[in-house]
Amino acid sequence: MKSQKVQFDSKQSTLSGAGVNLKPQHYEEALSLADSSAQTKATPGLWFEVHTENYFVRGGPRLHYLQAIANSFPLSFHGVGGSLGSFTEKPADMTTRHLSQVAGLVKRFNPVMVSEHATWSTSQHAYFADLMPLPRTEQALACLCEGIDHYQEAIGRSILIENPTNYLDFVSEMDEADFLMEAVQRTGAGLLLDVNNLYLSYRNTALDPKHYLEALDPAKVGEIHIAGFDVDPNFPNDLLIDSHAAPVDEAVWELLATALTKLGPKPVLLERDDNVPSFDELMQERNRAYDLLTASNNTEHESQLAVAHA
Amino acid sequence: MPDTTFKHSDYLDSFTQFMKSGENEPLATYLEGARPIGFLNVYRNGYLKASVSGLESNFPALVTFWGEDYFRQVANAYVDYAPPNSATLVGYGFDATHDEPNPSFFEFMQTQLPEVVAQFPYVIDICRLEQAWLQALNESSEGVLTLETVQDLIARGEDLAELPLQLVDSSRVIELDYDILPLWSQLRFGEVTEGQQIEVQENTVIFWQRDLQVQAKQLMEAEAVFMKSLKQNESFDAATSMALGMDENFDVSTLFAELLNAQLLKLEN
Repeated sequence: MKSQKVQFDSKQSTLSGAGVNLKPQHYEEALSLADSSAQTKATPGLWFEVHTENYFVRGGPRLHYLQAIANSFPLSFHGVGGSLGSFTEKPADMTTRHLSQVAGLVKRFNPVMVSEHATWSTSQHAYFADLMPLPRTEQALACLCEGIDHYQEAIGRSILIENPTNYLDFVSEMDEADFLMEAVQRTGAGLLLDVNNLYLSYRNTALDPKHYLEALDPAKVGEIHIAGFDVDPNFPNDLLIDSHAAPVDEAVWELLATALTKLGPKPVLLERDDNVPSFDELMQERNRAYDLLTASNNTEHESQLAVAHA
Repeated sequence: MPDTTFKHSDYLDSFTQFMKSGENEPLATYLEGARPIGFLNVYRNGYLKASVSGLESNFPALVTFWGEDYFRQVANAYVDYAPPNSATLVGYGFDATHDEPNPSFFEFMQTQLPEVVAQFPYVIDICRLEQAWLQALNESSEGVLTLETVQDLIARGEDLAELPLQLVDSSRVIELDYDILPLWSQLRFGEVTEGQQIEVQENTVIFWQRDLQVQAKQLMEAEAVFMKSLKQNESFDAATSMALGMDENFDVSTLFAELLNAQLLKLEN
C-alpha cells in the first residue's frame, strides 16, 4: 500500500544559494557578513549549516553564536548521529534522548532545512562516530524508513537523507539510487545529494554517476553537498576517503555542474571538517559553487523561456 | 546471485563486532565484488580517529601535558574499552551520567592503566579541572541575580536573608588533591613554566560562566565549605552556618557582595 504521507517537494523549499558548514573558529567572521547591505553585495545567497549534535549543550558561546547566526542567515541542521539505518536495533532510550535534543534545537532555531544520513552509527549502546553503510535489502530499507519516520515525527517536519560514501560493495537487492528514492517515497523525506560521496563511490566501487543521477527524481532533491577527499596512501589508485579535509577536487566540481544540469538549481553546501582553512579561503570555494549555481539557474530560466515560446 | 536473506540485525551485529574488535571475517558474508575486505578499516579508523579527537577536545591540557602521541595511545585504549554511549562527543570521557554511563577517562586509567596513575598521580586533578571547565562553558547562564534586581527587592522591603539564593547553574566546585590549578591553567591557555613543583595540597576551586567565558577562583577553606553547601542545595543561612563553623571570622556580607558582583548567584526557581 502506498503511503499517504506528505511528500517532500524541492519546489516548496525556501532554501537557495550556496552555504558553508560553520565552525566555531569562524563565528565572528561569519557574523561580520551579517550586515544586510554587505551580505547582499558581497555574498548573496549565503547560508550556514551546522552539525546538530555539536549543539547538544545547555548554554554558553555555542548556542549564543548559533542564535546570532540564525538571526541573520538561513540555517540548516545536519545530523551525524541519528543512526537511522539501525533504528530498530539500537536502545530505545538512546534514540529517545537523541531525538529529544534534536527536537529542542529545531524548535528553538527553526532551521530552514534538517538533514541526516542514510547510514547507521549506533548499535548495542555504542556510538561509532562514523557513517557505516547499509546493505540495500528490503529489511535494511524498512529499518531506515522506520528511523526516518520517527525522526520526522519527533521534530514535526520532513528531513533530507544523504547518500553514503561507498568503499566496498555490500550484497544488495537494488541500486543505491533506487534504494534512496524508495526510502524518500515511503517516508515523505527528501534527498540530500552529496556529490563528493557520489564521486568517491564511483571511483571506489565503479558506481555509475550518470545512471545514478538519471534515477533521481529532481523534485525530491533538496540540497547538494560538496567536499574534499583524501587518497589512501597505501592504496592510492583504489581507495579515496571522504575526509572533508581538503579543497574540493576538480572532478567533483565537474560532477556538481553535471548534477545541477540534470537536477536543476539546488542549494549547494561546501563542507570542511578537518584541516579547516581561513574563512576567506572557504568563502572563495563557496563563491565558486554559487557562481555555478547561478549559471545553472540562468540556463534553466532560458530553457523555460524557450519552452514557453515554442 | 548473492544471498540477501540475512537478518538486518545479524548484519549490524557483525559490523558492531568488527568496529569493537577489528575482526572483519564475520562481515565477509555481506560483501561482494573483488575489493579487499581490509578496506573495511576505513570505517573503524574513522570511528577511532573521531572518538580520540573528541577526547582531545575534552582534555586539551592533558594533551599538552602528555604530548599528542602518548595521549592518543591512552585515548585509543579508552575508546576500545568504553566506546561513546551518546551521539555527541561533547563530554565523552567525563564522569558517568544518564546519557553517558561509561566509566570516565580517569576511572579507566585507574582500573586499566594503574601504572599511568602511579606515575602521574595528579592526573585525576587535571581531569577534574578539564571536565568542570567545559561543563561550566556549555551550561546555561540564564537567571543570574543582578545588582538591579537586589536593589529592587530591597526597595520592595524584601528580607535578603529570606531569599532562596543558589549558585548559578554553570558553577562547578572542584575539590583537588594537588595544588595544580596554575599548571593546568598554563597547559590549557598559555606557556608552561619549566620546573614547576606540584605539591600535595588539598584545595578547592570554583568555575563559573560569565559573559560567555569561564571564570576561576581558588577558594579559602570557609568559602569552600559555603560554596559546596550551596551547591548541595543548602539554604544561604545553612551554608553560612557551616562556613562559620569552619571560621568564626567568616564574613558573609562581604562574600555576598563578591558573589553578586561576580554573577555567581541566582534565585532558586
